[in-house]
Amino acid sequence: MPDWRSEIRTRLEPLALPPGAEAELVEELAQHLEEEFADLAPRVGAGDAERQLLARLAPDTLRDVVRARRAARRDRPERPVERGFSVAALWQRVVWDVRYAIRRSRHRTGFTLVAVLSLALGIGANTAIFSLIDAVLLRHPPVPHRERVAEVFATQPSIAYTPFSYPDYVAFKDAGQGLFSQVSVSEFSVVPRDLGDREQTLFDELVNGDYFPLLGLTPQAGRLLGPEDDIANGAHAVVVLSNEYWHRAFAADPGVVGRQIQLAGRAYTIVGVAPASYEGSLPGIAPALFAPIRMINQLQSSATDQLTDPEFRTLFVKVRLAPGVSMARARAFAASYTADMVRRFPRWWPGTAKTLVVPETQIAVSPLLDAVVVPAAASLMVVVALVLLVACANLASFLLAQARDRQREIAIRIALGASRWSLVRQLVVEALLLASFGGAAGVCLSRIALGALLHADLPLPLPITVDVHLDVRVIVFAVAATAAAAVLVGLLPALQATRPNVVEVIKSENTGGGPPRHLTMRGALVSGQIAVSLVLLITAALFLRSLQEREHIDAGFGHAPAGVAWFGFPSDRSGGPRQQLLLADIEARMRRIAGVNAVGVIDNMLLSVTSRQDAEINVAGWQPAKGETGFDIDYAAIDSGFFAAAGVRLLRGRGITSADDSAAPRVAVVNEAMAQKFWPGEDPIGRTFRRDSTAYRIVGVSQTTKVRSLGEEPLPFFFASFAQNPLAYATIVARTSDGRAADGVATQMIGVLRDIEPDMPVLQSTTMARHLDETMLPTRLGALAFGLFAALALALAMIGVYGVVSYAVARRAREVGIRMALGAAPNEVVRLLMREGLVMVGSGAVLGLLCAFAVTRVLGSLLSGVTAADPLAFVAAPLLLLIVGIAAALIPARRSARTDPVRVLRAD
Amino acid sequence: MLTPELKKGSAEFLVLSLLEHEPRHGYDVSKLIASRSRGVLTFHVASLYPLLYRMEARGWIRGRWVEKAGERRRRYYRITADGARVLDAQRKSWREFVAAVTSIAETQHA
Repeated sequence: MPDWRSEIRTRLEPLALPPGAEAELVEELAQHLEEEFADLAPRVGAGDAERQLLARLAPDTLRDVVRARRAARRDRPERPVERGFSVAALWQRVVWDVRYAIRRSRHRTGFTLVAVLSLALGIGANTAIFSLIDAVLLRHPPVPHRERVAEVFATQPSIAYTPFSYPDYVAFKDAGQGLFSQVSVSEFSVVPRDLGDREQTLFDELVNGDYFPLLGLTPQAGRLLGPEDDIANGAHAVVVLSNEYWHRAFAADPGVVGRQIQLAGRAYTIVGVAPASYEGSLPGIAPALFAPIRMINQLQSSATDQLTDPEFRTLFVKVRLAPGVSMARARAFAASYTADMVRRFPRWWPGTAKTLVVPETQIAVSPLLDAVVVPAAASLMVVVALVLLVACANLASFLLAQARDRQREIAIRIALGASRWSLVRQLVVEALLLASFGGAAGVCLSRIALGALLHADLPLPLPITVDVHLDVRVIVFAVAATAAAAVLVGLLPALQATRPNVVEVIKSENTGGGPPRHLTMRGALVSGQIAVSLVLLITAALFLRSLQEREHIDAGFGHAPAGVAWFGFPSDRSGGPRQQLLLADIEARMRRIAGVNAVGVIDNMLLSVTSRQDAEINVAGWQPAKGETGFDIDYAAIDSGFFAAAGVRLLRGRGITSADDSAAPRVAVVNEAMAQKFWPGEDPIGRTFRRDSTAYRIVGVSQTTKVRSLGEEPLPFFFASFAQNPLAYATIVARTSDGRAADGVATQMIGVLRDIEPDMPVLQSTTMARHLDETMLPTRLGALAFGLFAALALALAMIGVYGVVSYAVARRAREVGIRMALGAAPNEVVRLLMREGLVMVGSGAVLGLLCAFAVTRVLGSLLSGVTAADPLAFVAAPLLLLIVGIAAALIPARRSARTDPVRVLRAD
Repeated sequence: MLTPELKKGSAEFLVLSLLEHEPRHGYDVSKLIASRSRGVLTFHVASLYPLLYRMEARGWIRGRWVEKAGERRRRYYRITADGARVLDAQRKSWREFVAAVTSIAETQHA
């Protein structure tokens, strides 16, 4: 029988077919002729049969076959599809690709699960962080013509972005007549709501009549506050509920308008409900209600009138430019206003003061917080993006390996007429499918994680409500992250696998041996993963070290367990002897709580995250800085029991005693830092300093405690007498001997306050330990977030190393078999196989270390107690990575060395 | 023996009919045509494959390499949905044509 294949091939030669197409055509025709020959030969004899059949292979007829074949190939990749580039045709192709991808992923359940899970973790982390950033930074209330709105701040050299006092605001509004359509003010405060059997602490925003008109909002129900609620001080007992609180406390009852609620011992009428789109001036701190600023003295007890006191700088001012007024003109006005205020009120307006007009479009949260919040958000975003990158690199290297194994399949498909584009599309669709599953799972994961975070019992100083619902932006982000992941994961392997070297691949039945081509590409990917993971790991280690250092920082007080309660004095007993009597009664009753052995009062609790109190003082022999009239020193007023209750140590002299009452000369206990600043090398006891016109005599020196934050350098500070500096509110500390009882003590303290005076506004009670925890929260959260993400990246990178090494081992099974059959010891084989893995881990580690050095420079400011080049972090993190890396390389290498060489060799 | 014109017009109809119920490879198709027509119709390599490829280009049939257990890999052709529609239409017009011819022929006899 003739060799039909070579006969056909010879005749096809002049037609110059592409090699792949020729192979298939030759095969089909040769098979036909073989069978026809087998049928024909018995009847007519082999010689005749051969002659007959060869006669049919005339070049013209073959040309006809080839022409028809070409026509068939042109428009048939896999099956007939609509021709041309219509949307319908593309859709049909994509549907086909998706079906194919689903079929393939069903055959590879294990791989699909790992892929979907790692993408879910990467995309989930990104979506969760982005949801938070979206809620806090990106989501703006729907204010019409936001570009015409600006925020106004005073500024001084020591404090940028100081809010306004009420008199400042009145002067600003009067002077700016005609320039602004509206000038709004708002202030955040906390107010107790009486629910009959208990009190609820609510966050409220006090606003003026221009506030809602400036925003241009439509109420959900009733009306919003307006100029009619801004006429006389103390005369507007009305509130507008926030949409969130309306849902939470009133089950979204539309009949709530007209009802009354009890706030700080007074009835307020609900006049309306704010729209759901508006959550107050500061994102993340959604107030429960809005009340007129004219009610500030009724809602927030204070020793002075907050509507006339120029020292009460708590108002955030916003303006809407009048038609035709430019931002530049508003700025020019602000400058003339400042000059005027400096001339008229030099006491409150130093010569260095400025007034800043900041366009709303340039503000993320608030100029006060943007400097901290924006970089923190950006660095978190970078971290989670790195995690996603690691997950993508992981999958890309898996798919690369698979693409290599599929190269024969792909080559045949190219030979059958599939275009490279259609194959790339097919492979990308496969990755897209994986990414979509990963993305969907990721969004679910992020919802769960955020839910857990927001319901976690964090020691926050304020009740924070962050609305992290899935809005369009978050969904767009998740989809974009998913698409980016798909392209990253799918495109590279697809382009690699469909390189047009078809014949070579079909010809070679590559069963291993020789350096696998794509290992270099995969190796680079794995090294990259290791590098990124190492950067994250070192960052996490630094945060953990910083946290560890902070845990060891001595606040200088609060070592003994104690209950702490914030309360206000009823307005009829604020200041004077009646307040002192009430305080004495409260303290006596608190001492009777079981286990309590010391009770004391302070007006501004040390290490309060939300409040700060300072006084301008002058010391004989000390010249204030240029433009300043004195030294701003933090202080607090305490009574005789505070040092014992809070555990502040007195070093010399005496503490504040009950004899230091309003009739006695003013006294102060300074801390060591203040003593050293103003009286270095001398004994400050008996010396005096002046605060305004009042002289304070120093009677004692206390240990330096932390005042504003745990990380601060020793801060000059003094304690005054509460009886000589009465405020309308105070913090009471009750020390107990039993740490486990502190929680109970805190609860009982509220009971005592209620017993004495049912109307007494109690803001909050907690334990000393929890109070100190508040200051640790940012570092703890940082350490937690970075630790979590670093662990995630490390796990993903390890899966990558493990995968690439076991793949390399499988590819070299034949080589290993030969080596072992020729007498190589298993140990040598293990060493040989591990070298590959270790080179990847090692080069990744070196790269990662270099990057980490650069990255941690930036983080220096967020760390305390450790330097950015902390040797422990820089040794421990790479070491951990190396150990895990070695394990990931060792396990598959050993498994391979244990296999029976004969079995491996026979497998071909 | 049929004239080439008649053969060409009916060839597609014949192939579609043969593939209607099961996929077949090229040689199978040519053998079946020859045996069922008792030798009246024959297709050889040079005439059959251009026909199959052209029908494939029109989307009436689809060829695929299939590997069955114990057999070598061969290219099987199956009818597509479009092909089935074409077959239906051709069958209908064929029946009408036959009916018309028959009625004319019978009238002549009467």
